[in-house]
Amino acid sequence: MHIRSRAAAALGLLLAVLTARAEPPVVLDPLTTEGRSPELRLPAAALDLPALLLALPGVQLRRGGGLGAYAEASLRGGSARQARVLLDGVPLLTPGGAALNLSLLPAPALGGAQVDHQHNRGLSGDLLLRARKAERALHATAGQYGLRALTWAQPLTWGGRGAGSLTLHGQQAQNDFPLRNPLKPFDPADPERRAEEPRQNAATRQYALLYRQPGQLGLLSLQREHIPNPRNSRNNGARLDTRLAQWAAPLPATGGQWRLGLLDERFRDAGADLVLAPSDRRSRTWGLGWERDERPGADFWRVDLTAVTSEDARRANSAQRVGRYEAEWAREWQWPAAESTPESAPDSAPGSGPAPGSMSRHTPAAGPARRGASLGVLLWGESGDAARGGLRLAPAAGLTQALPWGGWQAQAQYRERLPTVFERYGDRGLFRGNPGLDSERALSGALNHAGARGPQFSAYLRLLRDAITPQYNAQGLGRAVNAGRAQVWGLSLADRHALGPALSLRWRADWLQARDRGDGAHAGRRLPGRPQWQAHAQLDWQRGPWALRYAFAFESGAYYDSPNLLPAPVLRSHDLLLRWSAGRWALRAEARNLGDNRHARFNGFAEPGRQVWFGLSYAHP
Amino acid sequence: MYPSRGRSAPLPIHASGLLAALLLAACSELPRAATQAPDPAPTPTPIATAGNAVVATRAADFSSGAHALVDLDTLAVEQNLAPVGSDLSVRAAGGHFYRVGRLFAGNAANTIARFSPDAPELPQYTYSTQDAAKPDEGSNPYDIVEVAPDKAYVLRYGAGSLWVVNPQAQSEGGFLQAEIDLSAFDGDGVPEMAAATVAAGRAYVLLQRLQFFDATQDSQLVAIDIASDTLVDLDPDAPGVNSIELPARNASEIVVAEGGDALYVLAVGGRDFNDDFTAFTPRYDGALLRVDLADHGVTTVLDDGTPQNAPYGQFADMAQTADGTLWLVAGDPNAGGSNSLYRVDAQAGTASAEGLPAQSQNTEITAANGGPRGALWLGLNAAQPGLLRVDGDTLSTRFLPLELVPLNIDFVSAD
Repeated sequence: MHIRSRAAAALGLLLAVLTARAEPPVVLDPLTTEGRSPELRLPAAALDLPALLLALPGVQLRRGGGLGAYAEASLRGGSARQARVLLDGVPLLTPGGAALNLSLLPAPALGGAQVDHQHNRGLSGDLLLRARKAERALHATAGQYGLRALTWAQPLTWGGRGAGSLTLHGQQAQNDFPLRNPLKPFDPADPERRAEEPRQNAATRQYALLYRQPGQLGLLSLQREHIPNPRNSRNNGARLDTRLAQWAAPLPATGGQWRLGLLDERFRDAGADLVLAPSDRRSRTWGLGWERDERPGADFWRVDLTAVTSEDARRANSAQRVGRYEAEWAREWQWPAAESTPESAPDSAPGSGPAPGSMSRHTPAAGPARRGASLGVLLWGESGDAARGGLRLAPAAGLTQALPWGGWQAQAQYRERLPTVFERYGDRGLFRGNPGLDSERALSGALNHAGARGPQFSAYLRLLRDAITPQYNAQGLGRAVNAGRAQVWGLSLADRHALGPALSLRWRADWLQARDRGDGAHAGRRLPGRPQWQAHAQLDWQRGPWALRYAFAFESGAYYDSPNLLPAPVLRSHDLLLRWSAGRWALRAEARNLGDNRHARFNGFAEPGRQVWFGLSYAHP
Repeated sequence: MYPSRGRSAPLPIHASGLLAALLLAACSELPRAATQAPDPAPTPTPIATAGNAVVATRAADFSSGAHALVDLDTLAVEQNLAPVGSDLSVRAAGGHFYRVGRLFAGNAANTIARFSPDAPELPQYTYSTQDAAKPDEGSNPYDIVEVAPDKAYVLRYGAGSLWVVNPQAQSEGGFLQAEIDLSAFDGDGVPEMAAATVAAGRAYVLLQRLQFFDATQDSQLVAIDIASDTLVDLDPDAPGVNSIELPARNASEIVVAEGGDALYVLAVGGRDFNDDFTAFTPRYDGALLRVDLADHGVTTVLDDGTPQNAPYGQFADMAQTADGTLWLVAGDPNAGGSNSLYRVDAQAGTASAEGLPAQSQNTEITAANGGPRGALWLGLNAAQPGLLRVDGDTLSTRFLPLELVPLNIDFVSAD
């Protein structure tokens, strides 16, 4: 198969012509306002969550390889640590407060995704994920490069209290896709090293369980990720094992919700294939928290206790324990006062009740408010082996004002991000702690348009002060410092269109300038890893039992490095998904990256080229 | 514990943050055709032919590296040339220079590239130092020592054998000429050949003999007869082919003393983490040594002291200027990487910073080498990284700002 990218693009146009008389009518996703992006509905049996999230405006993604490899999302030019990820309103536990690995989440169990830039607690925004509605289904997928996946979803009903669901998911991928390895030894038969070879030591395996009942959420995810090295060594044994367990449930006496979680990570590199010295490092992050619903005009309270242990099993007396406690109060006001309503997820099953957290502050108000203000303060402190005493405050404030012309809104926000435990106390390796490290602070402003119909537009500016950045000395010792300043501004545009009775288009386009404004030698350079241009278009066609989706993703203008000497290659990815349904059964064929675009968002860690997946689904009535 | 100097990629913060950090820092470049310096990279300007300093450089966060060229007459700088990963060194030989791509040099890792100062952004060739029979081995070349126009030795830090190469090879197939097996000098088969110099028809090669980057045993010095490319037995009274045992660990620099009758060797010593894992603690088992080439006797010129009494701090670098003066860079590795320059009196076995320029004191000196016209050149890492040229006679200084942090400096002679 040799389909060029232009051919794939032309196919989309052809579909538009062919389906002018098709039926049934397209139903567009509902638009929401109040600082949120339109919800992106995630297709059933989808496996690649990071790729799907590219359809959301303002989202940047980075991943270290193929399916199941480490992937992180950042928002509007921020770092991944500045974005919080919530599932059904429950903040997901991250290692010591760092970025969430999106590959830990079972993609088939998720039904929707949104970005919140107004009610967020993450410095650059919140990524809101929604669990899929209760349904009984079995999905099996197989594909190139060792992909095997099986998902089983089962509705749950107890005592007539409404429907819940249980999803079990397992997947594995060898990720031995072909790549050109410029680092392989000289071969007289191939002096230019043009011959491709399979990616080595890139297999991933994941088992996950997602349990959802009214007001309750349980997530268990076990993952093993083998990590290739840039020279593609065959005997490389580096791997990362992660276990995430999280539970959230109502605490009726308080009118709030409590949550408990454990994230256990172990990185092993006995042969020093990836890092300079043999490693066997383990960290555990325990989280216990409670929060009370937030609605306009009511107080929001949150208390979180986090305990982090870390050690290098190869070194005696390397264990470290740090406890962090946080107490937060916030309040939001809206004028004219509006009653908030429970969020009605588009595909929530009748009687299933609100998802956990959906009664919380993440609930948009019913009807647009003309003016809004929010105020909050976070009190935090630490204890433990190396922790320094004392309490610190991290204030937050926000203002919104509807503008006199329809659908426009101005917004300003001040937020801080607490340093992660590892930034403050080191990793028991070559990254030293800096117990004096303080929060990084951001002042943001945005002009948004988000009407009931029409394009969603945002022009935004964020000034970052005391940005937490790693610095390294001549001995290779790293240390995070409050040294940096950065300026991020950009434009974000998104819309959806019904092109015909059976054809719809959803697209986004982003222009981003994220620049280092510090005093260092790289002042004025673009921050690494942020594409200047991003676009995504998704064309959906449905006729009878057939459904076809074509998606195109584009990224350019990103650099791998702080001095902007190493530009990342341009991403042009064309994907096709064909689905055929017959009663309870459905067949899927997915051709990904049809143009065989070779890309790496992390330098030296290639993502797959062209690949084909096939799937079979069975849905119970 | 770890390599003596920071040529590593940024390392993990925690396990998945680790991965993120590692991926961020993973240093490789695009295919050569795509790696032109982006806007606003400097436009190369013609360099005069009076001789140049060539400098290997890296980004402050190790996210990339490149080299720079300084015209020694005009002090005009071309920088950010042929960017790749951050783990680089440069070595001049006559009217050209080599760029050595070490283990974390991205797409230039484990390669030797040769450049002309007339076209410093475009390599004449880039050849691999990887052994085809051991593709998983990171050969990690550390240096190339040219002993004749058509012969050079490549020190392969991550491998057991040193390569004899033809630096004039027109194709990669003609680059490797022979191998010299040094694996017997370390129990793990990889003796960590770190530096070399040429004297009296021999190439003297320092072997650090680390165990997973931990300096657990003394370093050694071996000699190679350049005419025959064979090891020289440095202790004929003992059986076998013998090296010189050095009474110090983690040897990293070697120069020929003025007069050519001896070698100076700098060993930086090992280090451990301190109790709360916030810093390295030097073990102070390094030294500045003198090796007599006539009888191969080793004497300690300057000891780095003990953890309780280290008058200079941990030794970091050494240089020799044209008049034979030895210079030492040393400091407290826990003081933010800060170190200072000292002038060594080898006869008296002392070192002093008295009268030396203030810019060379209590700062982060990342490179040092003696250049033409008696000057000492230092690489500095500060908010504004750059090069400090110190006049050997008057000690007057001239600072040349760079965007990237200098890693090492060498000098290309005018043709």
